[in-house]
Amino acid sequence: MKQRLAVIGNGMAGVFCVEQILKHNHNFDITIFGDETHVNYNRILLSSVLAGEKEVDDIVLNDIDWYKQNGIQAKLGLRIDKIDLANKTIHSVQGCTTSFDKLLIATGSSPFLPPIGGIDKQGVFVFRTLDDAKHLLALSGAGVKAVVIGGGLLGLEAARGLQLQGCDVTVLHLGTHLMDRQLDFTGGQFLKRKLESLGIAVRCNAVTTAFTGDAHVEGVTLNDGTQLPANLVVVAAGIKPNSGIAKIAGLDVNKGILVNEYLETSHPDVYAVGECTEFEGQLFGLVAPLFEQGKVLAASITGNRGPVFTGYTPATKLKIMGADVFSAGDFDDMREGVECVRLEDPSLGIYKKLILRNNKLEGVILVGDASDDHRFMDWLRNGTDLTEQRRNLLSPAASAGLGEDAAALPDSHTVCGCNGVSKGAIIEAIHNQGLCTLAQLKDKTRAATGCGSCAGLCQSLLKAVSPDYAEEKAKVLCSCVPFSQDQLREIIRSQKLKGVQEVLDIYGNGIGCEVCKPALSYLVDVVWLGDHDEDRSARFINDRVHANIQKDGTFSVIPRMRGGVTTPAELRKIADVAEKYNVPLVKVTGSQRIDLLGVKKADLPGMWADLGMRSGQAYTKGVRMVKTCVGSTFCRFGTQDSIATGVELERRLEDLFTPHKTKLAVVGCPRNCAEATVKDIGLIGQEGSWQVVVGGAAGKGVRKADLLITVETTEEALDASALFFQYYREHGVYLERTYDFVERLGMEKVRRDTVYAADDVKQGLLDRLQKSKDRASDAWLERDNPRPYQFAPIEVPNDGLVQIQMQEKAHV
Amino acid sequence: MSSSPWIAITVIENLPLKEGRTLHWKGLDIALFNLGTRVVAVENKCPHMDGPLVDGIVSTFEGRITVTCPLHTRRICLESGQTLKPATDGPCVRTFPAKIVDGLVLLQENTTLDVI
Ligand code: SRM
Ligand SMILES: Cc1cc2nc3c(=O)[nH]c(=O)nc-3n(C[C@H](O)[C@H](O)[C@H](O)COP(=O)(O)OP(=O)(O)OC[C@H]3O[C@@H](n4cnc5c(N)ncnc54)[C@H](O)[C@@H]3O)c2cc1C
Ligand code: SF4
Ligand code: FES
Repeated sequence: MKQRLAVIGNGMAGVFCVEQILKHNHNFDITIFGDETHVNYNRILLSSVLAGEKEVDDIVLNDIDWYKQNGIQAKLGLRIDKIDLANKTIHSVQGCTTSFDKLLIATGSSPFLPPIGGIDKQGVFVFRTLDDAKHLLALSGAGVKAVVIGGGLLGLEAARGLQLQGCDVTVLHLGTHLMDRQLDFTGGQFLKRKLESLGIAVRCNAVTTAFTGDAHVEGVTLNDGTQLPANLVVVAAGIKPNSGIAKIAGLDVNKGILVNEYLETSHPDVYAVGECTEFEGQLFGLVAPLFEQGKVLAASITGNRGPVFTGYTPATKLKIMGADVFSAGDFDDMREGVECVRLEDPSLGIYKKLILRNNKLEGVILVGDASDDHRFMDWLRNGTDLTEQRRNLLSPAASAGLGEDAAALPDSHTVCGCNGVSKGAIIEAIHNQGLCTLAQLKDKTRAATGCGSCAGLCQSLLKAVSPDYAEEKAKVLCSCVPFSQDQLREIIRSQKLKGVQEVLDIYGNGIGCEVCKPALSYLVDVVWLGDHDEDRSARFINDRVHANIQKDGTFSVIPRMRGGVTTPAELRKIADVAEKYNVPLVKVTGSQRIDLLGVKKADLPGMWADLGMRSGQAYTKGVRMVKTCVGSTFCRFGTQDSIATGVELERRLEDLFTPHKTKLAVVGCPRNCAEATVKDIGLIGQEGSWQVVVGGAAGKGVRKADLLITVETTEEALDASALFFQYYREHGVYLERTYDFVERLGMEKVRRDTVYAADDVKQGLLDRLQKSKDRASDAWLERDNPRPYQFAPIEVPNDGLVQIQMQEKAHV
Repeated sequence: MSSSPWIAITVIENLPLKEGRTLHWKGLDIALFNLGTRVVAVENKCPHMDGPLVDGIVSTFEGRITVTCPLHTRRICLESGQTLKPATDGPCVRTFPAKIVDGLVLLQENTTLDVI
């Protein structure tokens, strides 16, 4: 006979415990009650949802199929208001009664609402659930004045999210410094400066006395009389355990439901896990210890009593990109017998402090750089004797690469604090299940699916252990901004950075170099579909003056000649311009167009105007040309109109930037006279259809292009090219030609994500291409409106002459 | 030290921010860089193969402000004129003392060649 196990609370701790029970040989009929209407989701990532970094679907932990497949009854949207211990039943507000043999209470906690006048006004929110996040998202936006009450972890994450949604955000904090439970005063100051540099206003020692306004909040009053306008308020002033129903039922409750080391309550058939519990005076606000609880209970409730719950070392990590904070243990350095080791670098915004007693770590604070937090956490948990490391406590052992670092960790080391996955468990999963990618590892072990900060470590473990590990190209862009290009795209998008300098200021060394600046210029352009802040000082000289620099400092001018087709009038103009400007060399290029070489910088705008032709983009990482053969227009073998198709293809894609130069060709039959099989994108005509091929090259190396798709109509061929083109723009690494790109991703993936993708995915690619295209224009039109001093040198007589220069300024 | 007089060249607004602009003066080809709070001036001639430094990207190398030559990416220190990369003891570029006073860019012809 199966036992009925009822679970109150469909949140992180309760469902995790059920997952663990499923791993044991159990004999339960499980029913989970949750008052939220959503399936089990990752509450930690609500901050990311608010920040626009994650969609609601991304944070689901167990979808409805999981409940079905495991025979679990889910009762969602149902609030339990009474537990009858005598009759072993629970009752919902909606009026239904359920009997149980065993009961697990996992009701979590609720936001604490301080007694402030007007707190019930519209526009005053808490931030705990997915619905809260949705409400906040709906109301936030540009021009909204938001005030966050509380400068703890939750308040700051909410503040950053709202600010990224466009709100003007002020954080009001009661304490003397931010995150005062996790940071000392100096740490709080460092964090404050960091947040202010991100654009969030912060006031400490701020006592809120009232919310003003009629029905809807309009302002916040402080005890010093200050009035702040506010159309949106988030109260994040702490949490209190949801232990009310347990108390009324007669269970032993202090602040939280009292549990022992097996998570048993004062009633033999009732257990509790999560933030609603209290263990030896400890309350909980982070998931790591709750998952410990879940494991211990799952074992003991299924008759496998083993390890016990022993409480935890508090450790906190702030999840705001660009404002790293890590804190663990007791960081009070005024205590008797402790030593303090610290590092402060105001210009880098880095603050680190370690508290030691008898050469053992007791507390740690990291602000601005929390990259080696796991090392400190390990020392703290294991009570490691640090006598030998005293000389380089704060500097990570320089020789140890990530891999070696990971290798040195003990098997018991918890790699993923959020999900409580140990190094040993990860290695076992890699071996037994043949995992070789991070995605597989996440899927099978749940490591790195919480806050995600252990992804790097998981990656190194894969690298060290998996025989099939394929190096994922996650190289950092440059030491000036030490992030991979994928991360940078994500940062630029989610943190709404529109200019190169902003990225460098917040995530880099503030200056940059010739490697990262052009790459960042590309990334902001492509992420914002051309709606970015163009910064010419970050571009290579070719892109500042739209011409290719030559060995003697002169430039070359190659006008666009779509499909290699020209006219006598155009040729005449080119000839006239060449003579007028004394162009030293006129040459037909390898790409079916004409090059005017040896042009002085100052002559460029004049030449473009006289030519009246578009820029051929021969100087940039963009669309060069579409070479064509004569095709069916004149050729006796031609099966398709390669000229018209090539001209149209060039017209659709020209003027856009790409990760590296993109060269295309269209041929009218497989004889391939314009070499389409060795181009980045090639169209090969055949009787009644087109082959679209990609990733070809005949440069440094020769690579035959791969077939993307064969289609019947010219329009379909143009669309397929456009899909691949935009996909390459969005996923290519800067300076990666398509021949490397398709090899890195594999053609299967490329096809699946482009021509064989779902209709809405394809439409998305085409729409984004169109948006970029709508904002793009012929670079040579800058001749009509040159940036100040883009082309002309300053001429000054020997004794200097300021007046002339003053006039020049007045003209611009 | 040289005691040549300071010559007013132009107003600071005439130099694009974080970029270079060429100055022709006394038969010299000089690259002026507007670094925001200050101006630096070097001869517009890369020690490698005479590349136009003025067209380079401003960057840093080991804590020093540099320009990267657009032709073959030598990194030149804008303060000392030294080639920092690839070789730190490579040839130097001539530098000119420059300053901003009341919004005017002042330059002093440097008579002593900075050879290290
Ligand atoms: C002008 C031209 C040669 C000519 O006189 O015909 C040319 C000139 C240059 N090529 Fe090219 N390439 C020219 C057609 C080609 C072709 C043929 C083609 O496009 O069909 C190729 C082989 C196809 C390809 O790109 O895969 C070609 C493969 C390269 C490569 C090797 C690319 C590779 O990844 O394999 C480089 C170097 C690079 O990009 O890193 C290069 C780089 C260059 C640069 C831009 C070098 C530079 O950075 O300064 C040359 C500029 C010279 C100058 O003084 O302006 N050029 N180059 C051709 C201009 C075509 C145009 O109208 O835009
Ligand atoms: C925005 C945000 C960011 C966070 N970031 C982090 C972080 O970075 N790291 C970290 O470790 N932790 C973080 N936390 C805390 C973490 O989410 C919690 O520790 C964890 O969710 C607690 O799990 P729980 O199951 O105890 O409670 P919950 O996840 O809240 O689950 C309890 C569930 O029970 C439901 N419930 C309550 N009473 C009843 C009832 N009477 N009847 C039916 N259902 C009921 C609740 O509605 C809720 O769905 C964050 C929390 C928030 C809100
Ligand atoms: S590719 Fe075919 S159609 Fe085109 S020119 Fe050559 S032979 Fe003619
Ligand atoms: S000319 Fe400057 S690096 Fe070659």
